[in-house]
Amino acid sequence: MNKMKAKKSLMFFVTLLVLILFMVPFFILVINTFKTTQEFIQTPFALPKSLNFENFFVAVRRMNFWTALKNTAVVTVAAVLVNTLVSAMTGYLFARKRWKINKFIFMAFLASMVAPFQVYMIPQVKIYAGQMGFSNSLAVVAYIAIGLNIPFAVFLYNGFVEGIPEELDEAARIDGCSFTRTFFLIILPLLKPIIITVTVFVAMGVWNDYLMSSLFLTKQETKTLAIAIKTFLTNHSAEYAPMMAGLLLSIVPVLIFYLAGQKYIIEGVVAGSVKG
Amino acid sequence: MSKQAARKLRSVMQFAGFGLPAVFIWVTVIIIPFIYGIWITFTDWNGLALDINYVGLDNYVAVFSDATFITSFLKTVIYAVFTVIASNVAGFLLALAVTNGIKAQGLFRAGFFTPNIIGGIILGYIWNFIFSYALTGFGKAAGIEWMSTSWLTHPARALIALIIVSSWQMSGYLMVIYIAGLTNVPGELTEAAKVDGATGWQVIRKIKIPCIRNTIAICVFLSIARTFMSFDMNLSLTAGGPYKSTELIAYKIYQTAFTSMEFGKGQAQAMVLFVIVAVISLLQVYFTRKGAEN
Repeated sequence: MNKMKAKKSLMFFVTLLVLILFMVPFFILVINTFKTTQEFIQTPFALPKSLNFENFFVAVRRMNFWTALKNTAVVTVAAVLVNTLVSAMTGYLFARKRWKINKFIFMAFLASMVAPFQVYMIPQVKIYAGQMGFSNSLAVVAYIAIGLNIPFAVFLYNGFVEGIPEELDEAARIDGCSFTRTFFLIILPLLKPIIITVTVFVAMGVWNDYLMSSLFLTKQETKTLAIAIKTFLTNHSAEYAPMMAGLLLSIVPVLIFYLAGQKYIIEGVVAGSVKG
Repeated sequence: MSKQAARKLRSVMQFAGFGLPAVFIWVTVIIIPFIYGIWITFTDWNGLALDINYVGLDNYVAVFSDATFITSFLKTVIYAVFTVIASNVAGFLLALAVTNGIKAQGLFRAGFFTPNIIGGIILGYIWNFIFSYALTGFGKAAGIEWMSTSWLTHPARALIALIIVSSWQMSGYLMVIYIAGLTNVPGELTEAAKVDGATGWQVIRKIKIPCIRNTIAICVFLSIARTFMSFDMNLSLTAGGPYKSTELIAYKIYQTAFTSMEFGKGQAQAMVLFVIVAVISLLQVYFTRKGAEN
């Protein structure tokens, strides 16, 4: 047994060592946020000589950090709320009413999940930014994010509702509940676990999205975090230390959520792999 | 109103209330752009000209006779092969390590997964700084020649850098899926094998791997699809450079459309990517279904 224990501790230390190596990029990022650009170039691996917070102030100003944070939060929250509501309702409808049209639309949803975003991006820009003139609209970015996530969300909600016994709906109907009331009063509360999963998946995708958002949001005051950091880094290409601070600042909001609910977040992000 | 008509009306109302919002958004965001996109591939639209002309299959011909697109496709294949192998091997090994009953498994899981909660743009820039400044500084100080110039200024090394960073990110993601597979391997099986004197390696090869064949299929196809769609990291780590040597297919499409303003050709390239990704997804469904039947 002792041999077993020794083997376990050895495994533990090997894995720990691998994790530390794995995290090196983040350590380098953090230690260099406190240095001057000069110090960063000369000794990138050393600990900072002093704790200098100036870089953060520069980054906040140059990136328009608070505006970008607000924009990212607005788009993410709007996309998650609307997506949850419409997808959960549709998932419920498709699970309970097996009409031909529902089956057909559900299959079409599934089929549309295989296409990569690149197939839609050019026409979406042409339609929404070009013909309809919605460039620099956070609402349009949220709207497209909702649409892109609908098939997947409906798929998950539908599967979850199918696991809820239909007798529950029957009982509610006998008690005089309409279809709508049954959904909102009986079913929706039961969907909590899957709502968390889908919310995390959609929220992480929207929060971290660069490509789609960047096609629509070009004005300083509409930029989200991912776009703001990109422009900051491309426009001020000699101030490495403030850039490191900007990168760290962009990570912090997600990291706070991750520390609070890593179990749900891992589950939610990986939910994408169940499709198909 | 007859009873039947009333029921019909109620069904229509239910569909309008519960199904229509999602269907409407989906049609306007996905279906209309998709069909419109197919139409675009048959035009010479460049984003500016007011008159758009039909050019037939010219865009598709241009895509397949464009040497830079073929190169970009081949680079993507090389990138995909190495990234898929590296990230799956690493993800599987990490999953083995953290399902072995060692201490602080949750911490390890969360730690290795961290790169997946951060956007590819940010990760790419962090590594960009590491390759451009940190490693070169170290290389110069230590007198290591191949580390004293930035990998990102050297075509082959820039692609290797892209493979390393993508594998670094994706291994934690695949690890979580492998963990789910490994925890489903019946404990009695591995215990029985150990009692019979099987070594740890034999247990892995003869019991664990065959038991998680389905998980392996999911992970492999998932990682193939992700590598073919890789964009963010390509943009922030190498920006396609040096000398356009690391323009992967998704990045190439973006460049054709939004830098060269050749929307018809860009959309035709996107259709090629669509076919590739669709085939990968269908193969995944086919293989995982087959695996489930066995």
